[in-house]
Amino acid sequence: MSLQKYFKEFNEKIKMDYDVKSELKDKRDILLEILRNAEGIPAFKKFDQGSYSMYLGVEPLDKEYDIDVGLRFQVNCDDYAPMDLKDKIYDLLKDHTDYGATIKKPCVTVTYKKDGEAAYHVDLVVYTYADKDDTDSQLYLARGKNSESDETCWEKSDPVGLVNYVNDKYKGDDAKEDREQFRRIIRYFKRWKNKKFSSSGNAEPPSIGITLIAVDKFEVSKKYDYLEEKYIYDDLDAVLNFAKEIKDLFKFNGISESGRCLYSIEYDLPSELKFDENTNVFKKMSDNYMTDFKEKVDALVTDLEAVKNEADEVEQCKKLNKIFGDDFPIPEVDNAAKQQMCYIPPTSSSGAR
Amino acid sequence: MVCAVIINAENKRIKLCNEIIGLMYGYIQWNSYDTEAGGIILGRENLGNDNLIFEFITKPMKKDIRTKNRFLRKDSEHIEFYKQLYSKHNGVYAYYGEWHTHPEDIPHYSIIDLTNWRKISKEDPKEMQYHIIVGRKQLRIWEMRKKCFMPKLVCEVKWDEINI
Repeated sequence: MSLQKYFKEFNEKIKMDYDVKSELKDKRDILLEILRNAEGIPAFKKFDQGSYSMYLGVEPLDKEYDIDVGLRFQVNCDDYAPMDLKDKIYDLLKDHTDYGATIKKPCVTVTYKKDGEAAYHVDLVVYTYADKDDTDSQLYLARGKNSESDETCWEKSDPVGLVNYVNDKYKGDDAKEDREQFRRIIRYFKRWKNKKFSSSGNAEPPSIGITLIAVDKFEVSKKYDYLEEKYIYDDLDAVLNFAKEIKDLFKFNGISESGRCLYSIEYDLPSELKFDENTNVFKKMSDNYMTDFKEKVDALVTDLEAVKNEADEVEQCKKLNKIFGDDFPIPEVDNAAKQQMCYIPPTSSSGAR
Repeated sequence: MVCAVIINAENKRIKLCNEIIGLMYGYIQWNSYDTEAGGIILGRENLGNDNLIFEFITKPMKKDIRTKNRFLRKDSEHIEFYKQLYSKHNGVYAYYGEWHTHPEDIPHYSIIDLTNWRKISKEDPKEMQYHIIVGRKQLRIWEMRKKCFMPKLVCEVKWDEINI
């Protein structure tokens, strides 16, 4: 019944709801069925990627739910132009929902509505093989919006390796509780990110960046309680230490024309995976956006340290509620303090002499 | 703006909320004719750990006796205030000790104070009380443990080191 209890309540609130996921899964399966039965679409194997596949989904604030699906087509990359399959998928799915489909640089997006508003979308990501007869050969992602663009290309990719890299961090039953803290801390960060950054453009640091830093730098915070004979986890310490790790990654990057000190952050996809080189996961963020990110992380560290220094649990929750938003619970004083005896000395006599 | 003060005591922390610090500061005996002031300290204990939050103090009341060198808490309003707080919050607030002012820069407890604290320690079912004396340059807090003969100084707060 300590602060940890409130962190866990927060985690339960922000964790992606399984019912919503199952609805998303149903929609995804309908789309895949259309593609499988369509003429001119080669055979493919589906796999889940993104936060859903890493068990790191967070309920979005004023944003759509999404699910990322990788489609590994059994074809040689050299036999297709990058837009060939994306255009075909787009044509097949563009009239499937009221919102239609959109071709984005990394995927084709199909948006669904619920109660008259866009509620969720399915991102279909196209991959082909270097050698269609060897499923261990290099995968290529179809990047681009149209065939005219110079940016359109087949990009080396290793999406399955990436999911495994994250999911292998704390494996097995022995690491279950450590793994749960690891996942909770990433979820807290993602909610903080959702609250503090605009989701338009590239103002918001990508979740995969946060997740990869966590895989490499996150350390479990727990203490063994000899009375209870179990580990007691401390999410406040864990999230603070992780925020400090991110803070330490920023490098001074000169001064802007307006006199602002600029900072940058680089974090490459794991070198052991089969991605293109120069894969800084934050590369889409401008200098100013990276600097905004740094300032927000600095403030987060300061604010979390203030929480740590606070002695009153109710006040700690109020501060955490300011940092992470209204899903962080604030208990009533009456429910967050021990019961006391009603005693007071009837009189008292004090004096300097 | 007055800052709260957090004290590291044995295995726990004690928070003096800013409101009570501001109130006590207002009763400092700056002038030779100022009389002593005092009241009771009320707080709660976190459910998840042993930290104490001193959140309320009572102010001197009409029927208390106040002279330059004495403060007698006699008015039943102090008790009334506590009882109301206790019942309004389902019994989570407790009495933690007495506070009063002294006409000295760095406050020391007197024989009268010591006798009073020992008496309280004997009668209060709780293991420990915390008493505060407010001086002109410092506020000091003593811990009075049951069956311990002497109080232990746990903290001194210098007025010029906190934001007043």
